[in-house]
Amino acid sequence: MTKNLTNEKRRDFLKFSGVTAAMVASQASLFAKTDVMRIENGKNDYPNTTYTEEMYRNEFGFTRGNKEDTGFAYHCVNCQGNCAWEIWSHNGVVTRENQSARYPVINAKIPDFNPRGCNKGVQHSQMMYEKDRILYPMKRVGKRGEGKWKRVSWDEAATEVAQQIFDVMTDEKKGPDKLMVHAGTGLLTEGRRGGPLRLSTQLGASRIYPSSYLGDMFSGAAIAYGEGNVGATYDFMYNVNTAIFWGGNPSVSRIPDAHFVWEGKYNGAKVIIITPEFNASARAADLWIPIKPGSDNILAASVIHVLLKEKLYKPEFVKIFTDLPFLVIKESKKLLRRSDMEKAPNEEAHVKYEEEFYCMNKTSGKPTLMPGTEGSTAKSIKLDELGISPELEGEWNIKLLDGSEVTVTTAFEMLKANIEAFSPESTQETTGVHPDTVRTLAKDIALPKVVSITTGFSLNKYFNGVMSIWNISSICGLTGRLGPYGGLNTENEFTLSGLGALSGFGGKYNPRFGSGFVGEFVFGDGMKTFDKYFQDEDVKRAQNGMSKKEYMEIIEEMLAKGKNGKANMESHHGNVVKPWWEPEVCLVVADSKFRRNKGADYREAFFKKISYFAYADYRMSETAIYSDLLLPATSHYEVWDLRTSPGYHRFTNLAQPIANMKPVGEAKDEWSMMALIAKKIEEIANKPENISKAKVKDDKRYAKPGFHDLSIAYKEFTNTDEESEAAMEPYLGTDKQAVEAALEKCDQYQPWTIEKMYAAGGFLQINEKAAKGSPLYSDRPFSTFEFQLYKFERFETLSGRQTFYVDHPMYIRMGAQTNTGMEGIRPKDPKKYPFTLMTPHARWSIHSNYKSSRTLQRLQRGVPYCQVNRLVAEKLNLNDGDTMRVFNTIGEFFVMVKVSSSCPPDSLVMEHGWEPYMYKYNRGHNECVPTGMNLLEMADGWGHLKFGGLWDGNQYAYDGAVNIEKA
Amino acid sequence: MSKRQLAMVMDLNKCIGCQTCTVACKTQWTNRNGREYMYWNNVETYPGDGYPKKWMELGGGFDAAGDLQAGVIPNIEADYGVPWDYNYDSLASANLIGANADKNGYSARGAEEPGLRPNVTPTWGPNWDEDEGAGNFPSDNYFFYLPRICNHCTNPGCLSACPRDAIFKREEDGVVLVDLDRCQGYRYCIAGCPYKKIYFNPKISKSEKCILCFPRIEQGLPPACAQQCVGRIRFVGFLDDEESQVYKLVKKFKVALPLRSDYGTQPNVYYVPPTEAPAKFDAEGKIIDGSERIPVAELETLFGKEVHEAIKIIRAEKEKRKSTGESELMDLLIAYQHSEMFRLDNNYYQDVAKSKGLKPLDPIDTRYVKGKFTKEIAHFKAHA
Repeated sequence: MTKNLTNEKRRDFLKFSGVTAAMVASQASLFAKTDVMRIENGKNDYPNTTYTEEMYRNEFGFTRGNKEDTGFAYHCVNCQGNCAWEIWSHNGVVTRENQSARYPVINAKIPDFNPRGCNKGVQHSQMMYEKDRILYPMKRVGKRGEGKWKRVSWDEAATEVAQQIFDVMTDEKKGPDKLMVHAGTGLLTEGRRGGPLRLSTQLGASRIYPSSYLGDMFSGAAIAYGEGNVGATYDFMYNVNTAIFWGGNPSVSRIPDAHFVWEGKYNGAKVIIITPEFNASARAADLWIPIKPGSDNILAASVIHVLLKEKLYKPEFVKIFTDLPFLVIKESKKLLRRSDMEKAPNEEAHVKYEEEFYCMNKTSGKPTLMPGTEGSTAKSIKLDELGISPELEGEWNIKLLDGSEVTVTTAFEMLKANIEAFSPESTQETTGVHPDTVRTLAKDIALPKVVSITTGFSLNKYFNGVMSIWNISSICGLTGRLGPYGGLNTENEFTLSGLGALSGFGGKYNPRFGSGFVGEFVFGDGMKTFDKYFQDEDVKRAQNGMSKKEYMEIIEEMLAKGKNGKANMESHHGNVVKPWWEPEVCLVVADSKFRRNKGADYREAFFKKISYFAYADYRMSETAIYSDLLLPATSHYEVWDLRTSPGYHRFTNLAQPIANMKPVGEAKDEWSMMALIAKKIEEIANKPENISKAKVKDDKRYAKPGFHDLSIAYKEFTNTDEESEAAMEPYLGTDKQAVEAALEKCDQYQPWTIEKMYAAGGFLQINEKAAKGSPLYSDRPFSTFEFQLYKFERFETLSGRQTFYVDHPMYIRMGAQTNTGMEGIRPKDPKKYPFTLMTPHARWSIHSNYKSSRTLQRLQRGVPYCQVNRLVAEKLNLNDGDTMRVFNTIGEFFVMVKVSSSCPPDSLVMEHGWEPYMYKYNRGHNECVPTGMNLLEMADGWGHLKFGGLWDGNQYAYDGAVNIEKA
Repeated sequence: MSKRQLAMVMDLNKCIGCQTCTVACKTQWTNRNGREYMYWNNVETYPGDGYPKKWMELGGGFDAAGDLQAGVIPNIEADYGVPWDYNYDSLASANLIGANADKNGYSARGAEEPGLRPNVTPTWGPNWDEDEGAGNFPSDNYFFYLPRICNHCTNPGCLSACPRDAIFKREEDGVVLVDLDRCQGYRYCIAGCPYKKIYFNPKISKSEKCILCFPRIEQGLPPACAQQCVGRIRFVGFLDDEESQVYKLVKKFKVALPLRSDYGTQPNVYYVPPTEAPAKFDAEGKIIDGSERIPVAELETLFGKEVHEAIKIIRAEKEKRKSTGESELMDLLIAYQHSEMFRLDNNYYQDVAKSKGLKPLDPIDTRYVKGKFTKEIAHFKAHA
């Protein structure tokens, strides 16, 4: 085809508009180099291809660099995605990243894990050289946040931190518990993270559980299963019949794995998304259930109602694998214990008798002890060989040891009674879900062969989120979902053993853990905010009629018991309270405290308690802005590191810098940084005037010898002290040494080396020893609880089974001794504060990581923005692009209006993670978010509900009701 | 006509709108040298104004008689969006606490100006209408994602519009390129392209556009947007390679359709239309079984009348898969192995280079090199 356009026509055809016209550069002719050329038609045999082609080929060659210079990395910033990336470079400078995409096929009939990655990881190269990098140690010289800094040397900086640590530890009135050494979730790795944790443990400093203060702890699952992290590797999604994402949006917040969901749909799965907003996952689902924010536990209760009424549950399953047949004393609502029926010969036996329980045995007609409970000598939960056939329903009169007659019934009957009030018809108003939809959902869960219910992290962000996940767990329990049949999927986690060699000291020192949500609540004077924001009616609604006054008294009492871990120290049978410490000196790594914590007053309250705050990060984050001393950290492409956890897949990724990496400023990896600080502590301790104070006394729980010996701080840190040398412990002190030690010490990493990982494409495949609860088959996705299902192994719960019944006094008081529905604490004032503020996990950042990226911001709106429902915006006369003020009684913030059809009319939806310094007045959205603590999560000292890594609580994020106005 | 034509298929059911493709393209090509505002690859939310703004209303392409249509060159501020920058370098020294702060830097309100802020007020960008959609929440609102690159058309509007004849199709694979030696920056091409996928580079005063990552392809690596697509929605191969997924999806199953083929440019990027969406709700909040949340009329506008047949085939095959466990089409769309989504026929490129008297480039990756002519050649390992 020849061209049929005349020049004249062309002139009309070309219509310039606005600024583009001005852009027509004046120098175009400078570039004409070629001789006159006759071209008939560019579609055929174009004569001058090479010039252009070579230009682009050269450009590609530049970005690719030498293949042998390639580095590998992943981005360990708490997305938990963990993806292998090739890092391309040119002359020691990183150019770009490209997924390694070399994970092996697990099963030819299941999609592979390639090319794992996301929109954020793909641009780290663009941020690592950005001008907000912290290049040198910096000391604050003005007020906090005033922007006045003085550059200091690493030697000066490390000496200053070391002196602060030494002084607070050796002060007779203070001591190790006045020190906090903490690593936040900007650094989640198996290698590098060990550095700060090691120093923290060595010094007896306190630190707090991140998943708890992030609101990412699956406390409801911990009630049910004895641990929060349960579920499957994501390839499991490919072969399920029903995939439910409850409060989850995998296409946005599980980007590397979302393909398994949609490929599973092509493979026949029904995909159900339960979220208040219409989102990237809902848009392609088979069923989207627009639920009212925070009513998830009530919808789940309603599903349980349908399962019970329509007999969709599996009675033979629940008799074996759950505590539903356990006997409960009707009057007291307490479980019937062996100690109620038999006198123990001694105190030790009595403790065991208190953890043994009965069923009513159909075969014998008598209450019979159930095997496999915490106190039981039988470690299997298998019943048939013992001639036990439990009754699930009924009431019986029995006589207790003390001679009293009581009526007992089953936990199952108690469940039925609790759930009676939650028929689909009666919950519709609260949940906004039509009764027909509830029944459809119940059937989609109960009837197919394999059903997976993935709970999103948003569920824990509501005040009664603990009940949401517990109820969903119970749905899975009633319908017999374990192992290959699916079930609850919070976040699978593999077992890694031996890594204690990095962060620990073989028991010589033990970490001083404080509760995450309680720790931050206390730091920020959370009670003040609570009192200011919530009314009596709110507390009554959310805590089974308890008044605000009484609630606050109970919390105060719990806090008093938890101070400095007091009540736990005095307890003989494990933890009984959430412990917290009040440090004065802090050394913190990669933790977004001042962005994340709720309420308008956190930072002010925090600095009233803290006298010194040293902070390590690679960029000028919100936390960095308010620090006393800044330590420049290396970022993901400049380090040696490993990452396995949690368990979305079975691979461990390697971080290895590019060849001849040019350093970025004076950034140090966290191991080298901590080693340098340890060295300075040792130097200070060995000064003649200090040496007498160098052995710092501490409780034997935290320091076996009874003291921390600061005169050998560096030697201990690096394993060059006599004891470690004798034990042939691996030398530590740099990031690379940590990787080598991890590869040597971790059973699940065998037989891999750095060289083998590099050759494979930047990863290793963990071996079968990583399996927890199920075998890790070489050719099948992993899914937990197969050992329970097929080998009748006990769950790590008080009953040894899935827990439906908790007779902790607080649970009974809350009417929550078994599953129920509980409304949220968010004020209901549709006139004054008509909107729920929802700030889900983001597509464009991992919390605040990457939120300030230029590359990513240009694909958003450049400034904080918030979705407003299209009709609501019209009514309020808000236009897209306007600035609006969002406010309630505790605070305000300003955002750009994004008018959207995907936003529910009763809510505002915005990505979280914006640094407060990106907002007008430098105040972020948490200004309007109150904080509170749920008594069900505060409860402690019962069976498997004892404070620790598996049982803490959550800081909530969605309990703020707000109003908006045009700014 | 080029001897052979490379093509891409994008599956709109699987696209999750994550924009990893957009960023992969940006770091590979457009983060520098006057290309900063360009998105050779973009993903827009449909319905929406798209990128550049309202591109479907900006003309170009051909009418039924084959005559090139008038077109408008988009405005950088209003239509593309200015690529704003941030004051990263002054963030550390900014006073964020305002004048009334106490000694700990606390005051009821901080400084009014945000510590980190764009240097121009953002008013539009390539993803401005992300996830907004249309319709009434929750009864019938909807959206889906539409990723777009240059269509490397068989009858390119840009090429026909160029007064310098400085746009060409490569003989070997039909990739459309601007001759940067001869381009004079007249920008008729921008008006002529109905997809507005060719851009003016103000720094060199020439037009530039998606080059289908031909330098990567020649060395055995798929285009950045496709190889790095984590939703695994993009297939790349030659349309005459009957083993290729693009051939099977476009020619055999006929489920992949060009976008706005009514523009007459014969695009070589094809889309599996979005067949998957949840049912609508009635006024009582009841599910309306079998209802179409995405209006089929909209899909017909985008993908032509053929879309009806394509939807029918996809749904029938999906049903077949559900009941029998079998379906070749579902197998294709699922794409078990990422590496099998690409057939780049590397030996063919080696031969082309030799025939031009150039030194053939060694493949830097051997995972994607299969193709029509490649299998007979054994100097690098290609699996059959």
